[in-house]
Amino acid sequence: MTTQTSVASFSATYRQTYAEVLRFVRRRAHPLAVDDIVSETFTIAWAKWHAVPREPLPWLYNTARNVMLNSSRSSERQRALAVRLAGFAETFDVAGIGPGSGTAGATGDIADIERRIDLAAALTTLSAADQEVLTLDAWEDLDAKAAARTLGCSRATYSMRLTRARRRLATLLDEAPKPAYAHLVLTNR
Amino acid sequence: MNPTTPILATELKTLDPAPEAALSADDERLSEQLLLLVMVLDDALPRQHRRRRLVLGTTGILSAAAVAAVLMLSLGAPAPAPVSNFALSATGALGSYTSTPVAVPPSTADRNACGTASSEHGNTSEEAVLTSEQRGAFRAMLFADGGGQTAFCVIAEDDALWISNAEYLSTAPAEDLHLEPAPVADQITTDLGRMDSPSPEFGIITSMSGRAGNDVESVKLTLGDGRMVDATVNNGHWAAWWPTTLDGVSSQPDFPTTTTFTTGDGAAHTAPPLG
Repeated sequence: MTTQTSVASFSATYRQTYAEVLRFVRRRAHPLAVDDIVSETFTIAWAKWHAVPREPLPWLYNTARNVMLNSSRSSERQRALAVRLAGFAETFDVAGIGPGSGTAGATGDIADIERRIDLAAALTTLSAADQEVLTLDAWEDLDAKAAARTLGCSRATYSMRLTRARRRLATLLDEAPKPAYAHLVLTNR
Repeated sequence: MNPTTPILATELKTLDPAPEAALSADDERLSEQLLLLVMVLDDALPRQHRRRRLVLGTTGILSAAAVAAVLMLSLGAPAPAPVSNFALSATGALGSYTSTPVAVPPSTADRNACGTASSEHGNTSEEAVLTSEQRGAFRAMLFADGGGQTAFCVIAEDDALWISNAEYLSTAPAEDLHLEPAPVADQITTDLGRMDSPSPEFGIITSMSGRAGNDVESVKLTLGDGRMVDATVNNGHWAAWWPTTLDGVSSQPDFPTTTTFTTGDGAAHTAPPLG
């Protein structure tokens, strides 16, 4: 039943979490699908408001993740979400390098660019499950318990998956040819 | 810990496609419109319609007037066809069977009937009832003994018409019938059984059961011949049964081709195929 109290509490939570849910989805979904996925997520949250925990963000992330998995058109349901990576411009902006940044010297710029190209190539070589757990750890500000809830697994399972994924990524980076331009796949927003 | 871990995590941040924490003006506007949509639609639409229509309706920027138009149209739309019951003309005794169960408390009489049927196979253990349901004139229970072994029992009037695994409860190696470990919250496991009634008029039925994660709310089976059967979900378990339509021993059409389940967040999942 809708009450003034539930409307107020949902609205407050919605405004507190909307930006983070939006970013979570933007990191993983096609840009044209982002609004619909966010909409679906909060609609489910409102319909099940009585069951949403007091710390709602992991629940919302998990729900958004399920919505994205369900929207997959593949005949076999995905078990992990692919992630999107920043394009060149965004990568350089974050790194504080590139045209207009006026920061690091040319040698440092090139080394940073090569390192990020290697990192992107290595990350996209990993399985979707490894990519998902690594980027969840790096991009979302979640502790292990919240991250596990986002993925719908136990904390121990999450920690094990993260450790193994980190190890595989580090191994790939150690083995990466320099530079790995041929294998680089970056997406544009 | 791998000494490169903190460095990798920091470097991965540079690949973040959505690093901006603040909402743009467009994002802010869309956010408020979406909040309005969620609230308005909740008051006006049946829940099973609401999610789909909201997804369709929020592609782009919608005005409140457009939402109202959608609501007016949707309220007049026909409801989806309910899952229908089906009867078996060839075995009229099963005519009251329903593909959607009703939860019923396990009665002492039913437990005794199943216990007696089990005892005929040598089992004398105390059974814990995991699921209990009614489909037409038939009640069914999934139960486990103290060792975690399961059996499925269908009862009509005061007799257990079918009981699965009973013969194994005392003879099979324990590891063959021990309950599978509980799956994670959003998964299920599946066991399949096929049972022949000692009474010719009731013939053969097929049952399925399994473990259900804590977050699983419903399980639905789509059979090879198109029928759909809803399972009972309770106590971290699920169970369903259905009559065969043909000579069930040799034909496969009444085995499930798809098992789907929903979780507490409303998400629909497809279970891995049998085998």
